[in-house]
Amino acid sequence: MTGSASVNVELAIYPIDIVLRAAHAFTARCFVTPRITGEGLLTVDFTPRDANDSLDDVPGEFENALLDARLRATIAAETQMIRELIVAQAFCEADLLDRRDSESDEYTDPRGIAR
Amino acid sequence: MTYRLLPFRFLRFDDARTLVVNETGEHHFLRNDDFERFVQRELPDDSDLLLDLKAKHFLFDSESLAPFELLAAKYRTKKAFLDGFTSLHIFVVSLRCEHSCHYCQVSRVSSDRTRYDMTEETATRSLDLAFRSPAPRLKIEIQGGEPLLHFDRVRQLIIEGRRRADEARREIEFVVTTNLALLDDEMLAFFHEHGVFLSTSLDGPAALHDANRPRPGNDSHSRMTTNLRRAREVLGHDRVAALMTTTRLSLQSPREIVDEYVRLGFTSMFLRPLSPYGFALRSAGTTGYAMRDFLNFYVAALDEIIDRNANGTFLIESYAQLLLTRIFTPFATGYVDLQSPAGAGIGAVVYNYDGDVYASDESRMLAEMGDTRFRLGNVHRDTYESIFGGDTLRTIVAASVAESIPGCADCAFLPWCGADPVHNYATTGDLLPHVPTSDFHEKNFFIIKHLLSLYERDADTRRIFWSWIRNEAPQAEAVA
Repeated sequence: MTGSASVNVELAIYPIDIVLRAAHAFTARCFVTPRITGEGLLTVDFTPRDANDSLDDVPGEFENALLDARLRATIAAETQMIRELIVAQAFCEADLLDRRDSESDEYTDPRGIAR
Repeated sequence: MTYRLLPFRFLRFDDARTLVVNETGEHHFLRNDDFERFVQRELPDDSDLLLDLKAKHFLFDSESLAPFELLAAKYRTKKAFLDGFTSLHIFVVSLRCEHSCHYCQVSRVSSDRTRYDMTEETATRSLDLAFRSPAPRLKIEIQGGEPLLHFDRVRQLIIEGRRRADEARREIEFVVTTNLALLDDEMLAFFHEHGVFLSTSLDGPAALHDANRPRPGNDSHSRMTTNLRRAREVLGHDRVAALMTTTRLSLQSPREIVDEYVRLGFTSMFLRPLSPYGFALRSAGTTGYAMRDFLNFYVAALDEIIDRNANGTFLIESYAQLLLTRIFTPFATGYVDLQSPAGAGIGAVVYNYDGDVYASDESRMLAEMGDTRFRLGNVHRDTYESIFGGDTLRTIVAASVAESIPGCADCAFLPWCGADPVHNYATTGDLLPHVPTSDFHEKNFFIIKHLLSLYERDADTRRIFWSWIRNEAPQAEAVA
């Protein structure tokens, strides 16, 4: 398709949640379609929202975004416990327990966010 | 010596530099190669950069240990807007207004329809709720429509509010938001007696202001400037502040608008885009524009304001002041849209003329347009507990924690930014934003990055920005 672009991603290098995080930022400019195209292989297709928009720079930008997304995930995982300790210490005097959350699961939507 | 990382986010700021921002909002610019060495734990023990990053809490080592308590104290300070709960209580005493501004967020009705006035009982019950708030300092903002069209209710709220505050030994402050056109000597004397602040509107020079803000006689600017002078004489110069709203007409006149604020002696101005509510939405075809157009206007107007300051005129751009305070100080600011979670309902609340309670003025706008999703309850039918502890407000708060919003969670600007679920809902139908296409994100990301670029540019701009943060005219010597 004219103006579209595709990038193949090795899932052994970039887990799928990393790929989707990196792709999300491109959704202002493109329609983004991830497809499994082989064992351990994902192909991400980019189609411009504006038909006149050339996507020549998108593959390179996306590959850099993958690297940054992976680095962010690594830093987040490495520092997660410290982050939680900081927040817990900051609010230790407040009762933050909301029983509805602890008594439900991810399907019940107790706060009605999806309504 | 090896070091460990503390939580932070990063942004490829430009081709050469990466910006790192930690959980409490401290930041540092690194050359890209230094950033790679930093995250790969390859910075030498004696490097200045390692010491800088250690001092700003981006890393710790066996000598410094993890400064949890200090970081927690800083984090708590940044989130101090949560302490005390709702402090700003907005009373819509009437929807009537004698202006017919194209962009009006209030969706005014004509000035002779008294059914849109707040009753004495509704005002009393609303005050009952306001004084249930645990906030140590209450701010009562009285608006409309045009509140001076229903001055009896203004008087009641201020007298009764003051009496209750005195009895409870609580601090209280009153602000009346008015176009000033109907201000008379009796009102001024009353405001003076009770230490009331006035907040008014000024869109620019007469031709622009009157085009944006039509009223019978087409004399909005003339009345505003005349009564501004009288109000300053009676109340004091700094007791009257002004806001401007940017219409399509405004976009071509950043210099003229700044000139008008300087000419009238204001020391601050707030460059605001149109909001997607009320008449602003209905007249979007004639007054509206893309966010990119507003941002171009913002940059031009901000340049003008910085130039005026460089030439000795102290003039603050209020949105920049808010953001700079968040970026360069440890303190929280009280602006509801620059908080996570947002301040709707938990920082500010609106009591409508009919007793309905809304999480924000924007929530009330939506209700006027037929969508009551963000109505928290009614002062005549509901309790404080059901209004402020109910599912509607809990849903708004849960949807406005930027730390959990896709696109915001990884953003380096998160500690300085916020969320606006009501705006998201009004523009997309979803409480959560689609960040890549969100105009809220576009505005804040662009302005924060622009302010950082300006701050890095030269010492004069840094000196001016610090004078805005301190809210005082700049000192003679430059701040490095």
